[in-house]
Amino acid sequence: MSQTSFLSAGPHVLEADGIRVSFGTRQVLTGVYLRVQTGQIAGLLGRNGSGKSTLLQTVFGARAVPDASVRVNGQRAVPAFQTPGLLNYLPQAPLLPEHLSLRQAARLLRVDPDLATANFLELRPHLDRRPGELSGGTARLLQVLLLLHARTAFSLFDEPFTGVMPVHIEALAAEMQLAKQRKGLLLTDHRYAEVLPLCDVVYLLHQGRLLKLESDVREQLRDYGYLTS
Amino acid sequence: MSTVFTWLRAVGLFYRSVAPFTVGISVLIVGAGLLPALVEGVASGSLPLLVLLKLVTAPVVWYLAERTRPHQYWFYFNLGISRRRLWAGVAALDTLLFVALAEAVRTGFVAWK
Repeated sequence: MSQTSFLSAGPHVLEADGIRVSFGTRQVLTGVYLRVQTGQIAGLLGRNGSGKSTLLQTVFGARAVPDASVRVNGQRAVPAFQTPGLLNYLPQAPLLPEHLSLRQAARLLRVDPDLATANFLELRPHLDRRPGELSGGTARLLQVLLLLHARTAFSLFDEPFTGVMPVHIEALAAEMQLAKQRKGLLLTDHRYAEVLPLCDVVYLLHQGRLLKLESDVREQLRDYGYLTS
Repeated sequence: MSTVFTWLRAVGLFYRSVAPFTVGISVLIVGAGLLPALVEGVASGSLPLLVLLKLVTAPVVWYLAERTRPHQYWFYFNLGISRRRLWAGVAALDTLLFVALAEAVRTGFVAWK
C-alpha cells in the first residue's frame, strides 16, 4: 500500500478479531472483536490486568498472536505498524529513546512540532529537551501530541492522561476531538470521567471478552464491577 | 515501510543504546585476542576469526539489551521498523566498527613496534 493511501479522504475502518492470549494457564483475551473507524474516538476500559495493553499491542502488531486478524478496510494488515500511514501507538512505558530531543523525535515521526503544540504554547521551550529532562507529565503530554499529529489514520493510546495535570487534560481532550476529524482514536485510561465524554464508542474488557457498551454506559460499568458508584 | 534515511537514523539511535555492550565486547575481543596475537607475531590473517568471534557474541548483546531495556522498541515500531530490521542494521554497523577498531589497533601496533 502506498504511503498516502490511508491519508486520503474517506472513512477507514480498523478491525481486529481472533485475538486469543493467555499467560500461563490464565486466559487473558478470548473472543475479541474490535472496530474503530476514522472520525471516531473509541474508549477501552477494564480492570487492572484485564488485557487492555495486551490488546492494543496486538492490534499495533508488536505482539505476535497466531490467529489474530487485524484488517483495515477489510484488508489484512499484520503487523499493522509496518503498514505506512496506518497507525501509531503510545505505550504505558516511555516512548522516546533517551538520547533524542522532542524536536528530533518529531522530525523522525514527520510531525511539525510547532503545529503539534499550537494549543500548548508553554510547552514549546521544552521541545529541544530530552524526555528525561522534563517532568513525567510534560513528557507524556508532548509524546501524546506528537503521535496525535502524526499523519496516521489511527492512533492507539495506552493511558495518555497519566501524570498530565488537569488543565492540560482538558486541553488534550479538546485536541483529541479536533484530531478525530482526520483520524480514529482508540484509547484506554482509568480516568474514566475524562474518557467517557470523549468517546463515541466504549468497549469494556471483562473476563477476556470485549463488550461494546451501549445505552447507559456508567450503569453497565457498575454492573460489570468497573465502577462502584 | 520506512525510508532508508529513517532506517539509518533509527539504527544509529538504537546503536547508541546498545553501544555499552557492543563496544565493551569489541574492546574485550581486541584486548584479549588481537593484542596478544600481535605481540606474539601470529596476528596475520586473524581478522576473519575475530569477526566471527564478534558475531558469535551478538546473542549476548541482544539478551542484555532485552533484559535491561525491554521497552526500547516502541519508538522504532512507530517509525514502521521491526526488531529484525533494527538488529540487522546494528549487526552491520557494529561489525564495521569492530573491523575498523581491529585495523586501527593493528596499524597502531605495527607503527609503535
